[in-house]
Amino acid sequence: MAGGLPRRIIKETQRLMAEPVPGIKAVPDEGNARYFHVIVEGPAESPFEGGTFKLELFLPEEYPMSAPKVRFMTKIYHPNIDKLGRICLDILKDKWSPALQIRTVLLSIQALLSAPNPDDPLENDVAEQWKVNEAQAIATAKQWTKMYATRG
Amino acid sequence: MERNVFETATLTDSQPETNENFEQLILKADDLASDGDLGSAYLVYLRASKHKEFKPSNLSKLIDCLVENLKMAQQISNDLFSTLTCEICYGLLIDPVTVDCGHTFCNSCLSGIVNCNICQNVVTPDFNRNLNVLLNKLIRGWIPEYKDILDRRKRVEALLVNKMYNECLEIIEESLKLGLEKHIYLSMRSRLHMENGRGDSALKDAERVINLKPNWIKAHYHLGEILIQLGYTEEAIRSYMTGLSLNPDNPDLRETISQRMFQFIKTSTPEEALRANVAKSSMIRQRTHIHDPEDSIDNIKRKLDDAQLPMEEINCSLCWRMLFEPSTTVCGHTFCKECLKRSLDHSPNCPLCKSSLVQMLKHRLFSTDKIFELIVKHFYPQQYSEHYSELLTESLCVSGISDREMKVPIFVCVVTFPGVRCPLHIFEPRYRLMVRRCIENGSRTFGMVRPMSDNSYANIGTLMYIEDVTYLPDGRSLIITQGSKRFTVLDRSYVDGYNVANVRILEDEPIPEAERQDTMNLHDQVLEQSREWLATLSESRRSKISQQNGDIPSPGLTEDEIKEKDGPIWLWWLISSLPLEEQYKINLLEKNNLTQRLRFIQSVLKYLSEMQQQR
Repeated sequence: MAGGLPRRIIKETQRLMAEPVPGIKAVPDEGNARYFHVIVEGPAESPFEGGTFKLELFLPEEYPMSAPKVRFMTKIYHPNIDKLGRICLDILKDKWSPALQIRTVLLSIQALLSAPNPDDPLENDVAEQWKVNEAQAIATAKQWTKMYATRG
Repeated sequence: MERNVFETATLTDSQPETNENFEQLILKADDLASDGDLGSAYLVYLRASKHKEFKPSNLSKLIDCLVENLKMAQQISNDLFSTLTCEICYGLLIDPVTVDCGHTFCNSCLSGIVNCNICQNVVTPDFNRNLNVLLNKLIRGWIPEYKDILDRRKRVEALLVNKMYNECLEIIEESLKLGLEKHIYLSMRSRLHMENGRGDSALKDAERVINLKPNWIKAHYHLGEILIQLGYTEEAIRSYMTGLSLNPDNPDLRETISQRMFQFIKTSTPEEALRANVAKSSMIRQRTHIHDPEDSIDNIKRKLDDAQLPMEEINCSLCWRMLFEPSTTVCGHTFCKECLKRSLDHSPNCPLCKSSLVQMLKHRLFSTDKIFELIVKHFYPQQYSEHYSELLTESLCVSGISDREMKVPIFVCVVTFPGVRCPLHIFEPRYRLMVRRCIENGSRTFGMVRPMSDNSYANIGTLMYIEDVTYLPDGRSLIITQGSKRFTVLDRSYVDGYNVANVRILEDEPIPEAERQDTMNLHDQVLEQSREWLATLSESRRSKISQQNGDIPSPGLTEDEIKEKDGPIWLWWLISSLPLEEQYKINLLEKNNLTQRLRFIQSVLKYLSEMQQQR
């Protein structure tokens, strides 16, 4: 159905394979080169440390003119990520620029895990908890990480 | 011969001939100049100059002809060093800034520039231009002396502004000894000499500058200024002329020459003029060539011969390929022109620094960055031309497969009909791209289909020809299209976000000879009925129809038209105007039989007329 894969996507994929982002694995789907299976390790010294989070990343037909679509598949307790795994990140929306790339998106998501931003929430309850009782929120986030994002 | 006698006769009479018509004189002089008889032409201009109406602009023909005579074969060198030269100061591009037309100059040279020195296009004054980031980086990398050159220029400029002439001279002498951009410093020294009343030294330096840079317009202009001040008006004019012959479109120089020649002609007598021989074509002064080596510049040139440019350095940050038709934004960032346009379809900001590019978009300023194009071609000539042919196939629009089958971009919107006009507002980024490609590749054609409920589109559509485009300041556009052939969709795919399809042209079956008369009769009945229906419509309804579909195309059906593959156009116009469900319209579009279409419309018109009577 779709036309040939643009060179840029091929180059980005090659480079992601050759020099992966530390702590992130992104592999294109066997049947669809625009669909990536992503695994992000919870950053050290964050409530998500020790967890491995599955995400899906899809490059729409107009990529890189429009942003990749990214979603958490693993449940996560985070003020900027909702129950459905949708991410509130400006570069995935109006701040997207075609000069950005899959790598920069993944790095930004990693950074978002290190620094939750309850002032720009997607999940209101979580954000509220983060503001009112940060210690409790962090404890819950750690608990969820153990429950949903730890293998075995 | 006769003319010469006549001219000699008038020479003795220095009084203005009041009975002579001024305009006729100018015309005569212009004619003589055009014929190449510049000497005679000059004398007639001289006579004209005794009239009150005489203006500098009356000399424009003379100037044109003189310039034509002077045009020298300019040396065009294609080495990298010449590419990196500023056309204004003829030195190395220092702090390069790329302007609207895609030409690049030193930032400091640009102050006060209204028109590009090369192509005369307007340099929009209110743009806040940044340095050409990538070019600046490359030049600095290639030329280790860059910083020294930059510092010297800045120091001298600052000293000149503060009128610290002695300190200034020190740097000038030092730079001349180094042989670094000698022409710039000789030119400055010449100016300083002039300010201090040392005319002869000024003249000598100015001539050395011309020996160094014979194609530098400013050098000829400067020499002209000195000669004027020293009282050598004729020689000054020659010098200006030589400058102008290097770029005959330069408006400033032209204006200066008109003024100077005007003054000169007004104040000279015919005898002086003959002696001065200003108008003779052998005006170029014979200068002895002083050998003036520029040691350091030669070194730089030699080093540049070995300059390297890894391809990653000139990759477009949008397509990740080598820059193709590079275009530099006002904020100084360079992208492939097409990549930049596509990015602006989505957001009016620079993809790299987010600066607003609304002004660029509004004036549709997407010039190719000339220097960058030369640089890319210099290092990767083969790849550049390969890239070009690849892009041609990638930006595919209409491409023929066979006579009746082709691949077309698809616009999913409404049902349209052969021969019927359809104005469209193009705002979605993907359709901005599609329409731009249709226009750029010359086909101006796309397929129009109606959307279906399941996020897909109808199997039947009409090819649309783009007759006219008006761009709105934000990149949207209004286009006027007209339907041509109908088609059936065979195979669907996507390109860069919009649909493309392989389609087969749909045409009416020929009407058998025996049925033609019946069809003609039916056609005439339907035409009559449709006129009746149109007459029942309100004025506002009728004007709405003609706004959308245009006026009714000449109604009627001739023997020839009955054989046409789409039938009479007015019938499609009527179908488009009738208050019918879209699905019915698609059904009519699909019918490849004129008689059937006519019957269907007849029943619709009958129904409408009954409704009308019931009211």
